[in-house]
Amino acid sequence: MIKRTPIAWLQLSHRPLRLAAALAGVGFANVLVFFQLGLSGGLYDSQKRPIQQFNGTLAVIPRRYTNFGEPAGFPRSRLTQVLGFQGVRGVSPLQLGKLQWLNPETQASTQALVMGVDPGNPALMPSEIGAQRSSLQLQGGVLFDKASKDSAGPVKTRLKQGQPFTTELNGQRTSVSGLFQLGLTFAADINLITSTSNFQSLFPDRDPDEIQIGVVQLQSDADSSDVQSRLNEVLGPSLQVLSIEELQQREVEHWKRNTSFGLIFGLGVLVGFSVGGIVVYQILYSEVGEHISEYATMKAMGYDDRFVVLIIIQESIILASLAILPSLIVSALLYRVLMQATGLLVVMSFSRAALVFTMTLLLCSGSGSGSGWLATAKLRRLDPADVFRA
Amino acid sequence: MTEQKPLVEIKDLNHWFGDGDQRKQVLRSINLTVQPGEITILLGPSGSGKTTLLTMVGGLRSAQNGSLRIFNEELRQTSKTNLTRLRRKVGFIFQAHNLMPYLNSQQNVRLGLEVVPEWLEQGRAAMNHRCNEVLGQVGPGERIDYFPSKLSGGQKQRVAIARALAASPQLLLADEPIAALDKDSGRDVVDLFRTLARDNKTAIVMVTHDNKILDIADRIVKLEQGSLVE
Repeated sequence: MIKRTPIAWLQLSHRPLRLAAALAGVGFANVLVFFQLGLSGGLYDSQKRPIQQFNGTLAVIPRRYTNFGEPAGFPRSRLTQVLGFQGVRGVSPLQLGKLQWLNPETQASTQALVMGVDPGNPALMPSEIGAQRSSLQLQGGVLFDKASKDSAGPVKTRLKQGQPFTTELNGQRTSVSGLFQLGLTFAADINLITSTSNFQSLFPDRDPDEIQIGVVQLQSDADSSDVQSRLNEVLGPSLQVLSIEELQQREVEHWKRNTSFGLIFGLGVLVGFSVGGIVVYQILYSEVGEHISEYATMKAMGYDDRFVVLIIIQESIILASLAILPSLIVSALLYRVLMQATGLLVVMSFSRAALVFTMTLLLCSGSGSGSGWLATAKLRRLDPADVFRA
Repeated sequence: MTEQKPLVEIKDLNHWFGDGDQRKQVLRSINLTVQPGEITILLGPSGSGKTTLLTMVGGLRSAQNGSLRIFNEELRQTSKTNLTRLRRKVGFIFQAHNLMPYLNSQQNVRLGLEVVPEWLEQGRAAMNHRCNEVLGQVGPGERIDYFPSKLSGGQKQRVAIARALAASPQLLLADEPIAALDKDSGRDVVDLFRTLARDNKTAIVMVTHDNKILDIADRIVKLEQGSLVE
């Protein structure tokens, strides 16, 4: 049974307008952090999208692999070797390379990531690839990612109108024979998929036997970690077999650790949390100031520092709890706008919502260093004798 | 008959405010004892040190020099935790009532009980019963669910008095407790003080400018420029 009067809640709810203003402040801090996390999460998640579309369970990559946009190659025959393993149902080669795409209207060049797949057993599985298998096999034909930047030219408009779109790719005449949806990465502003034979024509200097990634399909009853471990043993030190999830993680780690993106987005999130912390601190500090004489009275009555500090911490927990739902709704709307405007994969996840809620609680209550603790420093110094008029 | 130990025992107490050139002595060689059940009234002009002495007796300020004992415990070098503990045994009535604006009369009075572990253990129902009882004794019993903003000055002060009396403190300190009350209400309150002193052996130290209630005092002491004139 609750014996004590719920002072924190009564104090907050006694003035509804002031409570609404405090909630708006905490909510703003939440939205700020959600925005930064959404932006950085969206950018990292976007790097994983092509790998998530791999048509298989495991991926074979060269040991020197750094990231999806700059992969090293290895002989196709090494992938064929994998076919002989127990539990392996099939393999699909994926060739990757970058070329300059010419916008025929502006004559401006944009970097394009070209993905070469076997039309009979594509390494990527967007549904549009299977449906446009014959288009893929047309000489000089490529499929164009709908998420590509507009700097590529009016490709989608032309195709929707039933008109062909022809341009130059690395100086070679190329026509877009269809569209697919994959999503952009940091690697390039345009994604293209073509057949392995067209890929060879576009990259004549490449060894035709060289592929960049091998996608491995397993039999339904195969133990993927067992197959992965056996493949790693047999394929030797020059190759590495990862699960699709591990490869995604490796991609994100590359961008976080080996590029300035990690620092920029990390700082963004840090700034978001810091500004949020300052906003919350201001709210709590003002709350303490508003009720300072009441806290002094409590101390004069025999309530200790811990009790009055706990009131503020309870208030901050109430504020954080009440502010999270409206913040989530506003942030989800913001994510939608961001996703539509940038094509980034910005979605609200339970883990992100839980992280922001936890961080807000910590910022508010502060187990030793947060805003709540700073805001209540004035309380701990408060002299209860001040309640008496001299 | 065994001799009672005084609840308040002050010996050669001096107190200063400020530092260096700004240092000003506000209490000079104060000697005073207050026995259980005794009502002591402190008189004196503004700035004579009455409130400072009251706050020191209530454990709100530390003693700098001399000796100050309440409940047979020396306050001069005691810890902050001990001061807080001792304050729970003291009932305070503030001149400006100092009610919590977000609590109704019953909740304000209950705040005076919840600070005492023995009362807290008895639970909400027992505390509410006691609140209603003491609110009935001092006046605004019918307004237990009124917030301070809906009470007159006198009613607020009576709620504040009820809050101080709720836990039946052995020592009651009051700073102008009836200044906001009309003549009849003020008389009711001081009569209640007298009953508490007589029946419960509550020691009461009261600052007042109201000569009409001097009759209830067992002792009247006067402070002038920090010195006690009995």
